[in-house]
Amino acid sequence: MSIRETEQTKLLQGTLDLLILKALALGEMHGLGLSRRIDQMTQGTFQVKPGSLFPALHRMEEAGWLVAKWGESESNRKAKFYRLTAAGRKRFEVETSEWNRVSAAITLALGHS
Amino acid sequence: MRALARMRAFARNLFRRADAERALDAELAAFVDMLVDEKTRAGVDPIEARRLARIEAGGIEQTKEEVRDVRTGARLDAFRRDVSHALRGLRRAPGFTIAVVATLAIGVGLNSAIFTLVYAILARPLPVRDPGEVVNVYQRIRSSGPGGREVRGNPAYLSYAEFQEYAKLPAFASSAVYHARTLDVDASTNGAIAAELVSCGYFRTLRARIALGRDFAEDECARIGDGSVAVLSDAAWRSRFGADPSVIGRIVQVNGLPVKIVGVAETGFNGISYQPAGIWVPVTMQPALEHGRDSIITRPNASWLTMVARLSPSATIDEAAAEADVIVKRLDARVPGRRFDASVVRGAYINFPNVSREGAIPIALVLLLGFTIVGLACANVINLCLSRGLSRRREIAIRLAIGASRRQLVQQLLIESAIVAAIGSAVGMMFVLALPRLFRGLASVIGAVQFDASPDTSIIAYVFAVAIAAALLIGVAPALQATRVDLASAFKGGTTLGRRTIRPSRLRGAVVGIQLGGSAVLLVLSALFVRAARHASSADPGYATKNVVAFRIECGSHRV
Repeated sequence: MSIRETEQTKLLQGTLDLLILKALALGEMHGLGLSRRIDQMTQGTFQVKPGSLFPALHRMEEAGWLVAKWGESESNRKAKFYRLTAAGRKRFEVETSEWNRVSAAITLALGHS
Repeated sequence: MRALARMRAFARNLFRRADAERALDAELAAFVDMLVDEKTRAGVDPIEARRLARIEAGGIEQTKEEVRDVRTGARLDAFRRDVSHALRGLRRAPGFTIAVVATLAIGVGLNSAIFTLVYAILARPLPVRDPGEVVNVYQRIRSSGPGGREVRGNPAYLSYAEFQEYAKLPAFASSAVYHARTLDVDASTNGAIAAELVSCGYFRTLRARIALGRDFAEDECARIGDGSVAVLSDAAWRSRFGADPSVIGRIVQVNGLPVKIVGVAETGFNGISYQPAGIWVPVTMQPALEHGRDSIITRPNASWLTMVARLSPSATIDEAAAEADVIVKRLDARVPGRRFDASVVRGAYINFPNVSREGAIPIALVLLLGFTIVGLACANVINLCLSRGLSRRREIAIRLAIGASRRQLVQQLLIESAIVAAIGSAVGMMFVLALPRLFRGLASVIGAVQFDASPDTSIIAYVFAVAIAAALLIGVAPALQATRVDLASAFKGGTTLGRRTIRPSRLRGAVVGIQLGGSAVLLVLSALFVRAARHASSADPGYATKNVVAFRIECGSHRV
């Protein structure tokens, strides 16, 4: 099952942020790497297209959660690498606990319906 | 920390947009390149790999646009783009721009000039220090009692005896009366001067300083007949006495009466009557100035003095009014059949008792005239904009087709109209700023009238309000109409076919109606004003005016 990401962008914005934070918590990464990592982490459920990935990255960078610097990719190309800041790490914790709370509540609600 | 990051991002987006754009281009190009690398590594043919990478990356331009939209200050950026786009558009159509700006300048300028005049004459506080504390005391006559009331000027004025009663009010820190008239001063100094007969607290109440010499002393108007003294205005001192400091103590002939000059008032203070006063003498001199032929000051039932008072710091205008009420009842009790009301009002002509009743309609008409002018100017501009909107339908249709939202287009058209309204109003404002000079020039023709037409904050606020109203008026309707475009017919060449033709013509009809109606009102009003002026100049005074010469005799020291 693959979620058609274009239709779900708005709905899943918070989810996308959380996935990006999670992926970056393991280490710095460039755009394509992030996209692949999220694909892998969700076992193909989320295929993040650049149309949503880059706006999200820039938004989070301007919010101070991420910092970016130019570096070399594995194929020796100049690429922009994103890394979590302290604020981003804190944000990740907050969003994770928030997500756990919400998903537990939803699971509970669906289980009793 | 986060606020700092935001600010840094904002500054970069605002000032180093080109850098941000280049970085974004490079980032997205690198993304596509890495996709290609990935695919060639997996064994795909390089050309095919690039094709697949393009498909997977999707619309790069759209992605860029979305990144731009999430940037801090994106709205400001869009605003800046709209402004520069609008300016370019206006530069491309200089004829249209000049016509609109000129029309608005005339409309806003005339309207503001009319407002400035009405405001200067009616609503502006008296030209004195701390005018907020200054009030006038007037009476309204319900029934005047036996013998009727003698009225000079306005029935609302007081008699000297009444003033002496009101002057006792505890709410007043000080008070005074004045009566404007002309006096002959020293035949050698060129005759009649506009003057005010005043009570001795006059300068103190108005906080006008005496620059040279002294103010009137209390005992100089203690009793009727007292006070052969005078204070000159700075202007009269300069024009009639050559700014000679030795004028203090000099005896001059006022209406043939020897009067000693004791002081010169500060520059710029010319009394508070409409005619700028050149000389002040104690009101108690009144019978002597008439050589005993008329002593209205002794008559208790006469309206001739304007009372002005300064509220004491602790008192309110309502307290003063309540106290004046007590006084007027006491005055009524002395004369059977007399019933007056007293009113205490802020010192401005608009509060003058008869202005609010008899003057309301002419004032409303004059203001209506102003609004009709600005309304007509806007209607003309709307018509211009509508025709421009029609010629721009294709441009607007193209922008709608490539994904601009109607809101964006309306915003852009509104910015355009705001820009022309701002320029037009600025030009109109210059006219308002030039008004005082214009009136100074006019004063030499129609005689000096004391009012201050110089713009103050309320006038500037008014011009701003008119400008904003005009911008909305000329912007909203054409913008909404212009963006209500049927793409198909607009692309076919902008022909007005089918349903589309209905709306613009309805709006145009309304605009033409406003133009016709407004013009009719303007014509009627101007005809009325011209008639009134003609009537005033040709009114039959009741005696033959042909072959009659008017002249005046200035009485020197010789009694006539």
